Amino acid sequence: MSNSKLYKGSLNTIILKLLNEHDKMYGYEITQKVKALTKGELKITEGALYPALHKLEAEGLLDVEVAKVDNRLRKYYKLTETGTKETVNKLEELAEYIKTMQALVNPKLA
Amino acid sequence: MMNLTKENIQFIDTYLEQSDVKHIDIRMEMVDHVASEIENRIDAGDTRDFYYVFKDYMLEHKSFLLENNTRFLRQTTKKLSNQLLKSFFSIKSFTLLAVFTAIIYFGFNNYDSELMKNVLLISMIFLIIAPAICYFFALKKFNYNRFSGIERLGFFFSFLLQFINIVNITGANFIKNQNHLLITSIVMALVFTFILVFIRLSVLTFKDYKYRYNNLC
Repeated sequence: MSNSKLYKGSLNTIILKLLNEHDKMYGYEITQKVKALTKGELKITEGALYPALHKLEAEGLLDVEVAKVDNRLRKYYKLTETGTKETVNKLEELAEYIKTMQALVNPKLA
Repeated sequence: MMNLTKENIQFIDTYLEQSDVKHIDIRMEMVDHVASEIENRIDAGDTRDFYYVFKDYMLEHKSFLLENNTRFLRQTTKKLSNQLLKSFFSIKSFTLLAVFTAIIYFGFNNYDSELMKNVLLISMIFLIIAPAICYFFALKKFNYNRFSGIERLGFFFSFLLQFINIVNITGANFIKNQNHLLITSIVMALVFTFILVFIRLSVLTFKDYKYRYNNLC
């Protein structure tokens, strides 16, 4: 991620959330989706994205499916059952974190 | 939406392979990423030839891609190590260890120790050859494409061979003493159990790759 180190800790949650909203996604699609949703504010680099995806896969939160698309093979990621449960936990954790930060940074809004 | 040609894709694939991204399961994802980005740039108005766009992309991102390769391999090793340890420290393995210990101990007590040593040696050779045969079939099945997980198993396999070698060298005199029969039986049973756990992991890994990368078979 080029914008800020602050986003780094939330990368897994971002990936899980996106996959929760889509049936399956491939790496490049995730980078483009994040870029579009944040209007270019957050750019996930391949150096950060793929290790995170592989880690989530190794932890059993993601499953992989390979399909032939446009003259090449494409690796799609989708949530496993454990991954779906973990997404709920991660999103709750993130919401809690945002609330705490809000209370610290801008007490009026909290 | 512009799509790169088969030749363009092959060019990216060969370039990455020559840049030491040897394993197809890592490379194919990189090829797709690079190709998607180049198509995106061309769609966004870059009118230059594919090779110039590719060159620009590589100048900016090659180090990230190679770093990704290393991290993927590390992740695969970690994943397989965890699976191996989990299988080894399981009730099934401990039961197997107890059964092997009992059989070997019974064998040493009731049969000629030379005969026992030969039987154990032949069984061990067979069990060591099994993963090598498994790897050969895996390569053939996947059209000789190299997969990170299957090759990492080879890394563990060489450790296993070294361990057996050490047991063999150090145990040769130890085994002659009748008082050491139980310890010898336990060590032998440990080796056999570990080999079987390793073979099971190899078969599971092979099946997993076959299921996921059916397109390459």
